[in-house]
Amino acid sequence: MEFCSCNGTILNTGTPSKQRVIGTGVKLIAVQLKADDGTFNQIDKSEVIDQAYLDAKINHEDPSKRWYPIGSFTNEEDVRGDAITETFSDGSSAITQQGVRSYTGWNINSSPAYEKILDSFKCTKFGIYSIDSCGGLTGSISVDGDKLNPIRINEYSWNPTYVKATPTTVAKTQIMFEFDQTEKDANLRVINETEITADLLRAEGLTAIKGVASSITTTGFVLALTIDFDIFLDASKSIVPDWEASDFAVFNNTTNSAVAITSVTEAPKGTYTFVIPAQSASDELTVTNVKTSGNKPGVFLDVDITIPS
Amino acid sequence: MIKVGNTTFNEEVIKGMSLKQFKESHKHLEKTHNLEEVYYQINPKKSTKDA
Repeated sequence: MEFCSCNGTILNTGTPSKQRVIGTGVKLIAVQLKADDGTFNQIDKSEVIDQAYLDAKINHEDPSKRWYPIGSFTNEEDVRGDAITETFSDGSSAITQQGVRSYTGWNINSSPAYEKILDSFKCTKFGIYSIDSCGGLTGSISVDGDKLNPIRINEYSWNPTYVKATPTTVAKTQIMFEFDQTEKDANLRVINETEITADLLRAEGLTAIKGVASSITTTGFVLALTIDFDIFLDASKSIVPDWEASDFAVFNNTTNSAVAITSVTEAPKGTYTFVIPAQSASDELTVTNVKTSGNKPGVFLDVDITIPS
Repeated sequence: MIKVGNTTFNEEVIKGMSLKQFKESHKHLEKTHNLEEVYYQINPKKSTKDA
């Protein structure tokens, strides 16, 4: 609120000869404000944002610590509304609080399934790192000045809508939201694109892979992989082909131990027959994709399999 | 890992198996793979021991 900083101290008005201005975000990276373990998701000033750093954030095993790239956006608008004022009988006014800053952007040629993905953020306290057209990353500086926080979003204002194509316009997913009113523009800071070697502008979130298990025994199972996005009837376009044994990880949750895969055979395309060392009846297994160190980062597979009793 | 046709085999696991165990666990590949050849490709020193 506007009364918060009135302590009577005037800051010096000199500025450096070179200042980095902030552009609107063409890509947004959504991040939960606080992870499930209670730690804040932040960028420490000692961290180097290289491609390995970015890949690790996007592929993080803990969804509450993961980075979720959204966009790219066009026709973006990021404006702060007029301040709220109290007007007095002599015509003068006093500002009582800053106006709301809101963002609107279009993700063109996206399908309605993308809106479903964006809808999932509505019930989470999250913020965004904004990536401008230069590749710079904007966040909100922490109180101690050592960290860059995601800029808090008013999650109740998060409003993705689908705009259908017309004879003169393309289809698009429109995102509109308000930044949290406690976020001050004066706290925005940019990590300059010259300090970043990761390709932020091309960052993509994980693609969810659906796995259906069958023919489950103590020594193996069959797993059919598909991309469960916007394909309804044409199943051939949604299969996930050309994965190998090294792309998968199997974990026995009952014994709390990794299971070394003996072999994986793909036949037909997108269907994989696994041979594993003998597990016990009723054991609970989880099959995932190997992310940062394997051949298939950028996707998310998580299938639970129960060995029959 | 080694790839033979449409199958990737984990050499480290198969090195600990006998030929009989390997064949029994890969019966679904009998018609498409020469299992004995795959086994000895991974376990060349065992060629005179396993029957």
